[in-house]
Amino acid sequence: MTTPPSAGELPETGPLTSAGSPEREAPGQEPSRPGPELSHATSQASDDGARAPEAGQPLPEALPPGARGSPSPEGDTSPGASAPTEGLQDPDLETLRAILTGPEQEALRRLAQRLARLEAQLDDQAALARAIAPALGPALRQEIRRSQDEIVEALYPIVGRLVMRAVAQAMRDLMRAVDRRLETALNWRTLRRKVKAWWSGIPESELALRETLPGSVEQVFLIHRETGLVLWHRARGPSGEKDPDLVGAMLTAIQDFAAEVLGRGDKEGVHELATEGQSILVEFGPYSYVAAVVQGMPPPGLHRRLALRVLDFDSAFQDRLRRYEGDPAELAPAAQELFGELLDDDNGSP
Amino acid sequence: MRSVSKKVCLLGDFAVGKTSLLRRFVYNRFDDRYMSTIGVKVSRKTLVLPGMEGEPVELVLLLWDLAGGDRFTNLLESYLRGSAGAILVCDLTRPHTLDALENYIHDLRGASPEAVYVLAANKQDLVPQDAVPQTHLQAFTQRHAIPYTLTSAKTGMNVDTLFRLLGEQLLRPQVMDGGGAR
Repeated sequence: MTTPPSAGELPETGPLTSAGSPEREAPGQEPSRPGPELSHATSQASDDGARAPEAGQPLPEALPPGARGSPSPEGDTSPGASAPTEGLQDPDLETLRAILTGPEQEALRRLAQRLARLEAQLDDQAALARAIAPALGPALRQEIRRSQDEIVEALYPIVGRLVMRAVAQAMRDLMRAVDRRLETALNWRTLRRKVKAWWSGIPESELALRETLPGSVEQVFLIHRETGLVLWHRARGPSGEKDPDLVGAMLTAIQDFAAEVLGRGDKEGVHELATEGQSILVEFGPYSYVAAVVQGMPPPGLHRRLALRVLDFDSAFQDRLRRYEGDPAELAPAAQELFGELLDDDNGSP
Repeated sequence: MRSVSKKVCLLGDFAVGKTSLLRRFVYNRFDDRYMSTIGVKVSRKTLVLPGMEGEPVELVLLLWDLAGGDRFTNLLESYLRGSAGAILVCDLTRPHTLDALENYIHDLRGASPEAVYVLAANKQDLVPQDAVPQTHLQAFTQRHAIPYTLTSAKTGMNVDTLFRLLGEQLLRPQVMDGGGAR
């Protein structure tokens, strides 16, 4: 049995063995230092963050079998066993190593670098997200197309809850807005009612009761659509409109303006104009339109009644309305018959 | 007395004096702000004129004062529709305002082919009598068969005459002469 050489006796650059290769280590002996070339390769990999091949692991397969150390089966490491390398000088060995293992060393170095990068990405969540982001979109789209039903089924509980929560929030916001408006309106209305009660001498409670009742038709204008001339007008009390012809013309101008601005040509106009406590309800026939001035809440069904009556009127007098010359007297009796009762009814309701 | 109402438009470029003419004699109820809001303001002028058989007729003119300029151009056709007549107004100190009336006449004929017109050559007080470009004015009125009068909203000169002239045109029997008067 040969005596294993001491560490100092080992060649500085052993015959192409891995650092600490068990093939070169005798039991109980300190692992030998790696050879400079391999050390260089592994130290480079280490510099790049890669792990150097661990002690006890075989060399990469890239190393040709002939380049590996070829100890005797008995583990003979005697000088005689390493005779083939004895005659080689270091530069020659270097050259031979470069020739034999250069491409493999380079491939190993690149693999180590790539591995290091991947490990770094796995550790860095942000980098990982950036890396997979480009592939994620197309993959999701493809998967959604492929299995829509499953995805809908899976997402339904989540999306359903989100939608319900959003709707509930919107309803709460709406209710708050309505509350705010009601609060303001009620305050203003209350104040106005107090002033009105003080001014008129009518108890505030009676005024409040009156406000809860449906409104009443105070005036009715029947207006020729093309000219804006008033065909017929009546007011409930003596304090009714003093300038119905001017009001009718301006109302027509406003209708023209609205129709033009809203882009509806002459087919449609404004059906309701509202101010504090008063509103003007408008319905159109082909040749004329009727406008009812209402105090308070418009009575239910008033729009419909106005619409029906103006259509009746237009169909009865279409020839005269088409060639209207500005004399309202000829149409007044018929207009009074059709529209007068709107003022006679209490609250204008049917 | 028989009462007849007519829609009449006032037409002319910006600052020729349309609104000033109206302010002089007509009944104004609405604020001038309507002009800048919707481009029109309606006033009323009531005249009593002899009718076709000599009987007095109350003629109620609903005068639509249309804003001059480009801002309400799209609304012009809507406002002109149904007009029985028009007062065309030009500024004697700015001759191009007379030429601009050609476009208004064209628009009015399109919207209300049977409308009658009169021309008010306004701001006469700013122009010496002998400096009035009568030739140009007469050529224009003859071409369109429009009666005209020199007016001054400032002094009130001929303003009443202007409305009376238009009223007579409106109550005249409907004879189309191809020149805008019916």
